[in-house]
Amino acid sequence: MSTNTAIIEVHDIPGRGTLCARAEKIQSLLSTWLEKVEVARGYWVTHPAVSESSAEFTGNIARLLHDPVLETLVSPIKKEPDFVLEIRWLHGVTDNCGNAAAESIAIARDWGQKPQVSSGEIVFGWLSANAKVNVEASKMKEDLRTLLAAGGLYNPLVQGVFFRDDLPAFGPAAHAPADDTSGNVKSFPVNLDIDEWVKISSDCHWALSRDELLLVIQHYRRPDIQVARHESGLPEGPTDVEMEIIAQSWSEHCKHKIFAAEIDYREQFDAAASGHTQLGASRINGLFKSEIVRATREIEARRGIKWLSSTFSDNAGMMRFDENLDVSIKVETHNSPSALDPYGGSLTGILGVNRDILGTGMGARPVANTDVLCFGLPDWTPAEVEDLLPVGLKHPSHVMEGVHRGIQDGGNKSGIPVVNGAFVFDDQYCGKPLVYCGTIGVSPARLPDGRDGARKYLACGDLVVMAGGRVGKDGIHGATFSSLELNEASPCSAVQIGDPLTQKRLLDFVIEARDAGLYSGITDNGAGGLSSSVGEMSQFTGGATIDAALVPLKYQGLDPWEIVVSESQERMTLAVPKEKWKALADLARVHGVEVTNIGTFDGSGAFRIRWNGKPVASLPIHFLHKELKPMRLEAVWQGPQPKPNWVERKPAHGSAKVPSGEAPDMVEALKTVLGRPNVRSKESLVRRFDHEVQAATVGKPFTGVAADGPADGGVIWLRPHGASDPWSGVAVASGINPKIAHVDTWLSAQFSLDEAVRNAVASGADPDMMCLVDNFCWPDPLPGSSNPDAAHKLGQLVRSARALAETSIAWGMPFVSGKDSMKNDFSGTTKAGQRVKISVPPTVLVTAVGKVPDVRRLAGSDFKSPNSLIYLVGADHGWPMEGTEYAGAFPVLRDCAVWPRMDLPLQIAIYRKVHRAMMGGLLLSCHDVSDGGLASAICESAIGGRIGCRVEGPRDHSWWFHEGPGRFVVSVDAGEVAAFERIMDGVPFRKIGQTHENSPEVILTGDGREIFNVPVMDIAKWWRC
Amino acid sequence: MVEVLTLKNATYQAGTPRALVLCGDGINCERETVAAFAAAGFAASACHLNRLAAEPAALGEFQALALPGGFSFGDELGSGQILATKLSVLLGEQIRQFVADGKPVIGICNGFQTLAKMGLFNDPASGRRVALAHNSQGVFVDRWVAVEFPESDCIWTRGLEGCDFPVRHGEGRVMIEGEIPPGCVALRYSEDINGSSGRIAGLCDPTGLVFGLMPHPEAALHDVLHPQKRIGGARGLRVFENAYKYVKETH
Repeated sequence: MSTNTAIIEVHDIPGRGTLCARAEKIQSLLSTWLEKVEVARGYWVTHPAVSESSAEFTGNIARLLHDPVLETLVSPIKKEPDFVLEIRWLHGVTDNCGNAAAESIAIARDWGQKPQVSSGEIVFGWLSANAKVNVEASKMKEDLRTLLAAGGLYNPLVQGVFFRDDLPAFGPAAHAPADDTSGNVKSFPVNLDIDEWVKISSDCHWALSRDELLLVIQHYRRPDIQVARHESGLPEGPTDVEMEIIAQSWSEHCKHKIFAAEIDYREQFDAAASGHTQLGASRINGLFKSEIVRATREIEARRGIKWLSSTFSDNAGMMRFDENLDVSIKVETHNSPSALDPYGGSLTGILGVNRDILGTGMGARPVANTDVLCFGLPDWTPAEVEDLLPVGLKHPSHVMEGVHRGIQDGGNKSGIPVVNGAFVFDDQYCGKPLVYCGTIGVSPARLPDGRDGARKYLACGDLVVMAGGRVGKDGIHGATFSSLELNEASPCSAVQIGDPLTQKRLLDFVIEARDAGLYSGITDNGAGGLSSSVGEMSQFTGGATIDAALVPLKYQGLDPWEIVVSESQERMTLAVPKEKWKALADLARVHGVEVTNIGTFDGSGAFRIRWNGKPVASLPIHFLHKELKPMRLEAVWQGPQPKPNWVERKPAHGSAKVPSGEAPDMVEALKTVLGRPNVRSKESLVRRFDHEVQAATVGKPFTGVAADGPADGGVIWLRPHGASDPWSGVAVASGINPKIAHVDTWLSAQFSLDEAVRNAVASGADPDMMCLVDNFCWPDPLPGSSNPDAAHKLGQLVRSARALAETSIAWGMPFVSGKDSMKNDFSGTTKAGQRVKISVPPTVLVTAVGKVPDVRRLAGSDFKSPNSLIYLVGADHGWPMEGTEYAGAFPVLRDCAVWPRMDLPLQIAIYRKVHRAMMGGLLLSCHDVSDGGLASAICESAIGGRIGCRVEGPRDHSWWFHEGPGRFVVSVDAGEVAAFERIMDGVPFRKIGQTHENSPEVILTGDGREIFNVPVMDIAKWWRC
Repeated sequence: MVEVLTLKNATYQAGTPRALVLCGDGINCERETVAAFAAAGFAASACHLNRLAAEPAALGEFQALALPGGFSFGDELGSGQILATKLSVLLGEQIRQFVADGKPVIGICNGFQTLAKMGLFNDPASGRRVALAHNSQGVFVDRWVAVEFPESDCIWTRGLEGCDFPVRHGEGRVMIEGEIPPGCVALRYSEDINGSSGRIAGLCDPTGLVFGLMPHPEAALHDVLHPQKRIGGARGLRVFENAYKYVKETH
């Protein structure tokens, strides 16, 4: 141990802390060996002052690190432990607790320089008598590590387990001394041939294709480029800095090459038999441009929409729903990082999309988060995990726990409410979870100095300023790595842990700097780090020059290429007019934010990087951003396919308890469906998200008398955020339907869009003031030897993009932003040696954001009063049961084979009328019909209101449980029936029942006979199981 | 829109009581807290605590002080722990003087945790120590709860009747070593929500001026924010109106 390092151990006073819960968890994992476990928090404090006086140290420093009422510095257990192990962060991993402790000590002690503090857990173990005799020490240590990792108690990618008796010098062991060499720049010979380049690209994780490498070769062999390089003192061939920037800029993650590709699409299926929409053969010049952007431009032109402030060009889409305000929306995915480190991955996902909003226009303030999370089913048994799950994959529940905690910390610690979201479960998400993180922001339409808040004002000569966190090796190659398939050997440098405190300070600082007019442009540092943020911003002025040696580092030992592509979090890049620099730096000091001038935006035509003044990279902007030719791909849709199934497993939840060939009775059916993971209440998870900080959440995740009925979407009141209108708000809702993607992605995409819109309308949004965001998460659609059905998957992508475009045009709802993630596959090996590939189902998330004209009129999904009439609104024809929750649990005896088509003009008419009825105060409740079908929707409304009802329908279960689109369950006061029916005239709706006067049962009848009669509180128990 | 003001550019009418709402370092409820003070009649401004620390005497120009909710220093080392250290070191003397001058202070959620860690509810003479431990359910919770205002010395809760407030915390279990004088229990949950001793949701110091509470009255200013949209359901404003009345009467 360094003589300048001291350890402080903080123990819980029994019953007053949470560490005993950790200890219990460890004990339960190792119950055969351990008699007792104690867990303490450890702080390793390093500072020259430490060696001077150890007594002073424990007295005064330890006092800063604990609360004496809850914690103690002395272990409550007197007996000497049999082993002590430390769980420590690996070198370079963000240690928020250690950093905060260091800051606290620096505030309190006048030590001149800040101490270094690292934090961790110290586990004290007492072995059972049996273990002492029979378990060999080295084996025990190895097994302990394995069990702790398997139990989700530590993640070997970011943490290390160190046994004290192995560590005579354990202080520095967890903090391996950094390599002092830095500033190395390597260059590649200009005359390497393509095969050599292909090998280098693979070794360096560049993920560059042969064609892309050919373009690089061609560029560097140009005589004019050679002359220019010679003059500026650069080597003939590309430097590693240049190659890394090219790799980031051209990565699938940054460039969206698949969405930009030229695609030849055709179909091979029997249209007449299935009824599926035929698109015919066609060539598509970029799905993004020719479908999504085209739809938005068509809608803008046709409707003459003036309230779209910014679409597709900035970090987020922006709408002017109020004369004072722009509302911005962005939804991102953070799937690969969340697969490796669920907590760190989702935390950085949230913080990352918050920064997207902060970097939109002149900077917007995040006011709400929306998170949609897809996981494997939570019910995997230990035996199944052992035998069936590929080695290296985590139990879906552990993935969910980590992701959930990351979302919680990301939102709560940033003061941004989570107002909307969903959990989706399917074993196809075992390989990679999908973690959709979305954020809504607001910004003033006009800044105090009169500038338009939705634009950027960069000018030549403005300084390039990096603000926020420092740069380390964390997150190097995130962009290229997420463009590759995940496997056992995926690089751990791609893992990062977010730092919500640094980001919150950055956010507060940026908003104040914006209002003071201290910068001319802003963007976030996300994927690709500085190479992307400065590279993209340099397009405004036509060039930029930075000196990588000026970038502040977390620790020494980074080479220039690492500094430029590092994805270290919590950083924004600002363009700052020279005369504002001092004021900006002063303001940053107040906020405790580090700002560094690293260069200048110029008109040089190139993105140039220096190292202590010496040129190490020069990339013409045109070459970097414009010369890459679109890929040519082939897409062939093969028609509906059976649902892919990588594992044979009998899920415990909601599976059939009836003999095959028989339908269950209605009680069994509803009880089962309401208890399925996709339907049942997520309240225990969602209440851990702060959903009302900022005091503007009028539409909360739960509704009803006991605030436990499900809401269809979240609603933010805009007045507290500066709207001119006293009662307007914005609703955000989502739609996702991977369950029928294998049947037809046209349908699943359209259903997703419809569900998002319907949820938004049920939440009070005006369908004529609504925008959409698309997020495609796909299994790899690029051809390759291990990917035989790539053309079909690309065909699925074409169909879903076309379905979104056509539906959006028909409804006049523009897409304003979107993102895609194209490599959501995992390949690995089970313990038995079987190769397994797990791909996500093609998954489209649509997020709808709409203006709520009057937040006082929100109906909520819960029944409100006795003797009100219950209506089913929307087309009531039969839909196949394929993919429904019911079909997941029970055999479907008779099913219709043909999928009806949604009548799009009729459907938008329904949405307008429902909106009119709600804003007219005619709806007591309004709930969308989705997972679990009509029967589940009715039960949810009854649970929310604690009000019984009687609903009449046919005996056929498919009517009660199909999940066809376009429908609501609404309730209307008897006195308003005439007014309601007048509004609804001309669209399909019908009365299906009414709420009871005072009996608490939900009664359902089939063809006139009672088929279900259960008290609402019992139903609530099934649903909240 | 609530403007986040600095000490210097705060403008106010002569005679209007001024409220200072601290922000920065991870505090995140300053905007709604400023709005609550403003709605109660104060000229309210949010001020980064580093700004105040650079000019501590400026605190004397204000008649009420708030430590709003949030996650100061990311809740590392325990919620409020580091902010308490920082405030004690940089502004401890000024805050003590503020109370000695008879001016009200409120700490909401993380602000309460901070005041508790600063020892403002402790009594070295009797050995009383107050802490906020992790909720008994072990997790963060966001929900509206019914609260009651027992008879107490607290100037912030005078004459208030039971109502609903939102809670949003993971470390809100009030834990008391020693005796708490009855006049110091200013707020109780109507039912146990987090294992708090005696269902205590808020405490005041013996002067009645310093009020610390876990629920968020500043997020309950308008009925549309109430989960059941109950008319008259959101009565958080009255807490701030009490401070306004008190300041008007005494200063």
